[in-house]
Order: sequence, then structure tokens, then C-alpha cells
Amino acid sequence: MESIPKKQGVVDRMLSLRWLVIIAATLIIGATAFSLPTLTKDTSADAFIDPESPALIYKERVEKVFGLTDPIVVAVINKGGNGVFDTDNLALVESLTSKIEELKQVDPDRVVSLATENNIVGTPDGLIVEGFLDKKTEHFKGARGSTERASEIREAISEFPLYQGSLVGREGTATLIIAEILDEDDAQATYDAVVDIASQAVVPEGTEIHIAGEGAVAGYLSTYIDKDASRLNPLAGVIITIVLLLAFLSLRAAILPNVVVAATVLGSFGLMAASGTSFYVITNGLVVNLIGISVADSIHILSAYYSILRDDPDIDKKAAVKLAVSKMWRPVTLTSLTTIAGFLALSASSTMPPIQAFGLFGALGVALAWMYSLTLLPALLTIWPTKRIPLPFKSGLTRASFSERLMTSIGRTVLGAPKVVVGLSVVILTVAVFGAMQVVVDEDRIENFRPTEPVYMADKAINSTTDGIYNLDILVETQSAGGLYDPETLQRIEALQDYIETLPSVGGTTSIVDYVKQLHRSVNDGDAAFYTIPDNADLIAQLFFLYGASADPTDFEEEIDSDHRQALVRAQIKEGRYTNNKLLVPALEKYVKDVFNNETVKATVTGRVTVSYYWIQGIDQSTLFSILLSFVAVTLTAMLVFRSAISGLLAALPVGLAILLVYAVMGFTGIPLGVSTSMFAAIAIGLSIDFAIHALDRLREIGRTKGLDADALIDLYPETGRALFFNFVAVAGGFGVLMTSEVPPLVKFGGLVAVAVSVAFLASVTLLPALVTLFKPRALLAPKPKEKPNAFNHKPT
Amino acid sequence: MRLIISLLSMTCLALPAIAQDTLTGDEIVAQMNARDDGNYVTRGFSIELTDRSGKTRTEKTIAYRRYFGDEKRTIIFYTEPTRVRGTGFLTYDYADPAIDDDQWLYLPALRKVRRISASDRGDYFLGTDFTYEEIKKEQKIESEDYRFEAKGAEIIDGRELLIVEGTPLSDDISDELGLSHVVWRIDPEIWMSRKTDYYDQNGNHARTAILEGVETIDGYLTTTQIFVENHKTGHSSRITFLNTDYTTEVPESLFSQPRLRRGL
Repeated sequence: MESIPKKQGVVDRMLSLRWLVIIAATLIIGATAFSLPTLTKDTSADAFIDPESPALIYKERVEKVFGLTDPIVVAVINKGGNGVFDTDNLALVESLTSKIEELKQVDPDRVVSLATENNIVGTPDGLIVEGFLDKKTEHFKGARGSTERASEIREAISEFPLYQGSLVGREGTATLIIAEILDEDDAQATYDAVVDIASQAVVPEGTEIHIAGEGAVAGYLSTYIDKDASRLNPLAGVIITIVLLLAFLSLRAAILPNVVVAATVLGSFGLMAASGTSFYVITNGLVVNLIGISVADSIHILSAYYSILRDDPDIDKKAAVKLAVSKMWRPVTLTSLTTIAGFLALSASSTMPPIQAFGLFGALGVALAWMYSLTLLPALLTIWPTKRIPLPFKSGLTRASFSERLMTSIGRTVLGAPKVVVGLSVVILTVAVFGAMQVVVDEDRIENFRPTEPVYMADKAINSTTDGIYNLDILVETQSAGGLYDPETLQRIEALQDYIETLPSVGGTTSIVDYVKQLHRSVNDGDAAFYTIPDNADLIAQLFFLYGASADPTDFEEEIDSDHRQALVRAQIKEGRYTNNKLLVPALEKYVKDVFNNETVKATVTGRVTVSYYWIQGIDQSTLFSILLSFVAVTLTAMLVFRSAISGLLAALPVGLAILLVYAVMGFTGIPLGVSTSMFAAIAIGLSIDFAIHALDRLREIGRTKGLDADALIDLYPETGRALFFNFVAVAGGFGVLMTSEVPPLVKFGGLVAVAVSVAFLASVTLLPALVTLFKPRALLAPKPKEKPNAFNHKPT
Repeated sequence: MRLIISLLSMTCLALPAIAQDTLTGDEIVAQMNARDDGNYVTRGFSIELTDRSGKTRTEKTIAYRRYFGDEKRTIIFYTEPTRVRGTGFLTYDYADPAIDDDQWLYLPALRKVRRISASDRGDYFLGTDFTYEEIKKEQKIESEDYRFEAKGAEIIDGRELLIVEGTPLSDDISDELGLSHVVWRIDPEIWMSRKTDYYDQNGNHARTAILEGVETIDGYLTTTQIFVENHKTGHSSRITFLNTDYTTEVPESLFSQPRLRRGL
């Protein structure tokens, strides 16, 4: 209490300059929000990965050398008798292909489908290379658009292993049109344009068109989340305003905290834009987070203000504000410091740029909320024209207030049977530990969508009818130009492909070797016995040359570089789950290292699947560390601000319980630990600590004046308890809004943070006082000149 | 007939330059097609292929061409790179566009001559960014493919070039050539297009071809270097013609499958 007079002096001066404070705050809000319009969005999956990560660097290199980007995949699926091999479906493929080629966001030469690819076939005296749907053909006798041609194409595909599973499903029920987007930033527009083309197509009976692929997902995700966030964020604001109105039944108490919220949110995102940081998918969660955090400070200050007015209705408005701020600056500052510590620890312990940004701008937001709550809010309170005491705080009526009665009865129950409370907590803790141990690490990007979303259904439909939509790439590098003519090297690649195909969920593999074998067979009258790698390097070189001479100069670009030194082996995977990738990537890397690599040829495992694997593996390995770091940071900060180890530990207790219960819920309900869920605990730490600190600060105040007996501790409940209750309702309500989201990760995020906040609130008003009254820690009592030996159990008289 | 064309072309070249402004597209194209390119020729091709990352690969060939009446036969042998040395292509190009060309390939490592499917005229020539049509026509234009329109003149590198735009006469021709339209910029001094823009069937600017070198060799106006860039793929090709010789007779017997097998 010794600091209050000094602080009052500061508060006094601040309030006497209130107009200056308001003007300065307005200027700061303007300055920080100034860059807001330049905020850019980045919904790509690559955004989550450390740009220096080797997996990402290799993937980008592969994209550069082989010209591969994340494609949009359009599937034409027909499960009827002839599958896709009928005139109508082939005509559909052709018209979709040509319309997609016309899109300006798409590289027309990098659209792959039955309408663009060549058949290679051997004849007794030569070789025919021609398009499946060409008008003028030699091998195909049926005219384009005839049933005969459709059957001939089916036959040709059955003789062309390279296209089986990749271009056409092995059952013949699906065929793909794969379009590469020129600029990934156009993913959204491209996806929309392709959807538009598909919706205008004449679709034969029994045929479905599905649109999927990384390019589609990225495009889809950005609108999906945007649409959702633009609905949810204002809704969170509305819910919190309603909570404020209910808590205080006062207009100013509903409006002024919203000013603080707006200033905080505008400032944080304005500075985010100014720093050139992108708005990532998960950044949407930060908006609600900041709303919840910034409103909490206001709730506690307003609660104190109205309590002061109630206790002394004749007090001058400015004096009341001064008293309220003097009383609350300490807990508000303490909670802000600990929350900042939690956010910074999250930022420091993560390797993913979006989470680093989340932690950093979360911490910044908390600081802004702290600043505005202690300056702008009091200044605005003093200039608010009325000094009406809202209904819940009117003397006489106050005891009838529902929330106060509720909190007080909780207090009586808890303080009446503290041992039961502690015992129950131990039971819950035990169950929670068991549940938390069931949590598995997993992530599947497609699970970001509801199963009823077209892109989700497309993913499942394509994976069930073809070799799979996810790509695992292996970059094979030889020492010199033409190194890939070496038969031994090609045999190594062939063996590598055979090995990959034994791994789980691998649908198939393709590489230049498949072309070499097809060509070798074709130049030998189509004899299947020659579907082999020639043992003559010159012949291999000449086969490459032959194909190059018969096709476009860039036809081979996706499989081999132009000087025939590097090749790409691509495996198609049916599953995008981390738990599956975990079985693939390390096994393949081991094979490459132990079996494949030698002095002349070296392979590197890369591609989207590998990048995803390393990304989630980072979560797998760093989450525990991240949580511990945040927890330790918060605990240490609490110890420092209370200048007591015991108080710090007490403050940390509800937080620890909250996190444990979040994990227990995840463990019991089967929610995996993934990209978004991995942050929950750290965010929960930042939010939960507030309850413990407000409760503890008040308990200490009571302890110092009245001691720590049950009778004294009941004082915790009517005011602080009530404020905590509305703090809890506001934050839980704000996050609870996320549960109505259409984006599954946001639903989980909202739900789990609501769980954490509830646990922290309940523990702070039950377990914490129960422990305090049972053990009566000295740190919460008034310092005594002389300690008695048994001070811990000493009851002050 | 070839003599008539030669005589005609000389007459045309003698026309005063002032008449150019009033020439129609068809007249300009007729001037181009009137150029005599000799009954037979021997020359080397040095083919430089550059991919989108700027990596360049060079191939070298020796090529022979001879007219058999209206029919044009070509044989090309690769000399570099070493691994494809001896690989040969033999083409019979019939005057009637309705009849497909015949093409044979010899792969020395396979020791077999293989007939390969006729290419569309709009297909790329031996892995370059030039089409078969462009290589075959040697700076001439198939007048039966297009409707020509003269579009005035443009000055490039100090030369006044006549602009002619060609639009395929039918969808079939457009399909076959893979083009929606072509813009030639013709130098009336030599009646060759110095810069040609090709637009694909979607109307996108697909390629630009530049005539980089022209010389008179053995009395014949001869292309010595051509370059083409594919705007869609970033790939480009340059062909330099070396040791062009119109005087040494190319024997008729050279254009046969046994000769293809025997190699250089």
C-alpha cells in the first residue's frame, strides 16, 4: 500500500491533464492505425515454415528448376460403366481444359490433362507420338468425339503405366486436369475462376466435377476464413458489450471499454502492417484475443470505480476515478506484465513465423490495452457528463445483485470446506493428467474445412479415385550434364520408386525413368518386353532426344532439367495427415541416405508432403518446450511482481490446471495437437494468469488487513469475485463466439480457450482461497517485525 | 516452273520502291514467296536452346535439302552432342498440304530406322521453339493458309518494314498451326520478315521470331541466323546456319533410308 500515495500523485497529474491525455491518445491511435490499410494477407501453408528451413529451400528450388508450383486440380469423376471413357466426359475434359488454359492466372503450357498429353506408341516400323484428343491421328482410328476413340484412349492408357493413377484413376473412374497457377497470390481468383468454369460446364449424367489441390485450398481458405472472421470479430465485440451492459447496467461502462478495445485492436494491427508482417490464417484468433484481454482491464477498473461510488455516493467524480485507478493500477499492471511474458515466451519458443507474430503482436496489444486502460479510460470517465451510479452498485440493492450473491455463495461453500475443494482438485488433476497423456500430434490441412465444404469433398473424392493429390518429391542430382543417361543411375531411380511404392498411402510414383521405359518399348515395335531401362547410355540419350524432338521443348520440364543433370521423382500420396507423413518421410530419407546416395548421384526428399512433415514435426518437438517456457515466464513474472516465490507459485497454480485441462479435453475428445491447437495452451496461459493475479492481489490485501481466516477471505467474493466473474463471462463469451465459426480450427480454438478460462476462473475463486485459508502463507500476511517460529499456522487475532 | 518463279522474282525486285505503300497483303506475301532458294543446299545448323533459368544447350547438325519437282526432301544428321551423334531425320515434304509428310528417324544406338508420326505443322521442330512450318517454309508463307491484310509500315532499327497480318482461313488451319493470327514485319529490301509475332489460339502473344542474319551466298539471299522466344515458357531458340553451300550438288540418293542408317 505504500506506493499508493505516490501513485495517486501520478494519477492526479494525469487526470488534471486529461484533455492532453485524450488528445495524445487520439494521436497515438491515429499514428499506430495509420498503416492499417496496407496490411497484407498470407494464407499459404508455406507461411508457417521458417523461410530458412532446408525442406522449404529445396521445395522452392524444385519449383524453380522444374517449373512446378502448387496446382489447382480439377477432377472429372464418373463411377458408371465406362467411367470417364465416354464421348461426353472426354468432351467435358477437353472443354474444361481449353477454358482453364484461357485463364490469365494459369500458365497455358502447364495445364495437364487427357486433352494436352501425348500418347507414345510403337508400331512395327516406327513410333507414334500424338495427343489423345488430337483431331488428326495415326494410331487412333476413331474420330475425335467418337465412342471408338473413347475406347481406344482407354486401351492406350492401359498400355501407358505412367499415366495410370496420375492422369487417369486406375479404375478409369476419374481423370484430372492439373493447372499451375502463375502467381500463388492469385490462388483465390484462380480458384473462383475455375469454379465458375466448372459451374458453366455441361456435365454428363452421373459425372461430378471436383476442384482441389494446394492451389485451390490456399485460395479457398483465404475467403473461408475471411468471411468467417468478418462475421465473428464484430460478434465477439457485441457479446462483450452485452456482458458489459449486464455487468454494470450502464451506458458508459459499455461504451468506454469498447473505445479501449478499438484503440488496442487498431493499434496492434496498424503496427503489424507498418512492420510489414502479414496477416496469417491464425492471426484471426488474435483479434478476439485482444478484444478479450483489453476489455478485462476495463472491467476491473470500472468495477472498482463503481464500488467506490457506492461506498461514498457523494464523492467527486474525479476523486472516484483517481481512487479507482490508484487501487487497480497494480493488479492491472501485474496481469499485463504476466500476459506479456506469456505471449513473448510463445513468440520466442516458436519457429513458425505466424506464431512468432501472434506472440509478438499479442504482447504489443496487451501493452497498448494496459496503457489505454490506465490513461484514456480514466480520462474519458472523468469527462463523461453523468455520475449516475448504476443499479448493481446502488446501496441497499447491491446485495440483491445476482452475480454478487452467486459469488458470495461460492465463497461460503469453498471457505466452509476447503479440504474438500483441495481434494476434488487433486482428483480432477489426476484425471486430467491421464487425459493429457492421450493427446496425439497430428495435422491435416484439409481438416481446416468442414466435411460439407466442396473443397473437402473434392479432396476425399480425388484421393479415393486416383493415386492421391498430395505430392512427395525427390530431387535426384548427378554430377554433370547428361548424368541421367547412365543406366545404373536410372536403375537406382527405378529401385527408389519401387521402394516408395511400398510405403503407406503412396498411390504411385512417376519420373523420367517411366518415360524412358515407355520410349524404349515404343521404338521396339511396342513389345512389352522392352518396357525396361536400356543398358546403353547412348541409347538413353537418344531416347530423350527422340522424345524431345517429337514434343514441345518444355514437355519434359517437370521430370528433368534441360541439361539432363537433375531429375524429379514424384510420389502421389492419398493422405495429408501428419501421422501418415511421419511414416513416409523419415523412412524415405533413411533409404536415400543408406541405399540410394553414392559418389555419382544424390537424392533429397522434398515436396509439399516433406515440408508439411517438418513443419508439424516442429510442433511435435517444440510444443512442450513452448508451454513450459510460457508457464515458467509467467510464474517468474508473478514471483517478481509479488516479490514472493510462494505467491508466484500460487498464481501459477490455476494456470497450470487450466492448461492441463485443455490437454485433457483434447486427449479425451481426440482433438489432435496441430498448428492451431499448439498455440492454445500458450494463449490460455496469458489469459488465465489474470484471474489468479487479481484473486491473489485481493487475497493479499485482505490478508494484510484482516488475516487469512475463512471469515476474512469471504471479502474476496463480492467485489473482486464479481469483477472476475464478469471478466470470465466476457472472455469466455468472446472466445465462445468462435465456436459458432465455420472454420473447424477456430471452433476448437474458441472452445478450448473457453475451457481454459473457465478452469482458471473457477480455480482462482475456489482452489486458490481454499489453499490460502488452509496454509495461510506468510507472503500474503502483513509483514511483522518479529516472526514467531510457527508463523505459518499462526492465526492473527 | 522454278525458272518462271526466279524470273518473276527478279522482275519484282526491279520494281521501284515507291510502289510498296500501295501493295496489298497478298501482293507482299507473293513477293516473299517468289524468292528463289536454290534447287539444293548443304549447310550446318547450330541450335542453341535456352531454358527459363537461362541454361543453354547447343546441338549441331549437318543438313541437306533438295527439290524433287514440287516435293522437298531434307535429311539432317546430328554431330553434337556426342551421345546423339549420328542420329538422323529424313523428311519427305509433299507439295500438297493435304498429304502428310513422311518422316523417318535413325537412332544409332538402336541401329534401326523408325518411321515417326507426321507432325502437325504447328508442332515444335526438333525440340526448338520454331515450328515445323516455319523451318520448312524458310521465311516464306503458305499463301493458302491465311487471309492477309497490309497494316502500313513501321520503322525498326532504321528500316521501314511493311506490316502484314495473317488470319487463318479456317478453324482447321488455325488448329493445325496452333495460331489465331500472325504479324509479319517485312523488309522490302529482302522480302523477308525481320520480326514476326505469333499469337496462340487463345489470342495470347505466344512467340516472337527475329531474323538476325541475312547474306547473299552463291547468289541466293540466305538466312544465316534466326532467333525465337516463347513468351509463355520463357524458353528460346537460336539457329545459326553455317557453311551454306548451294553449289555442291546434293545427290538424290542421299534421301533414302539406307543412307539415313549409314549416317554421315
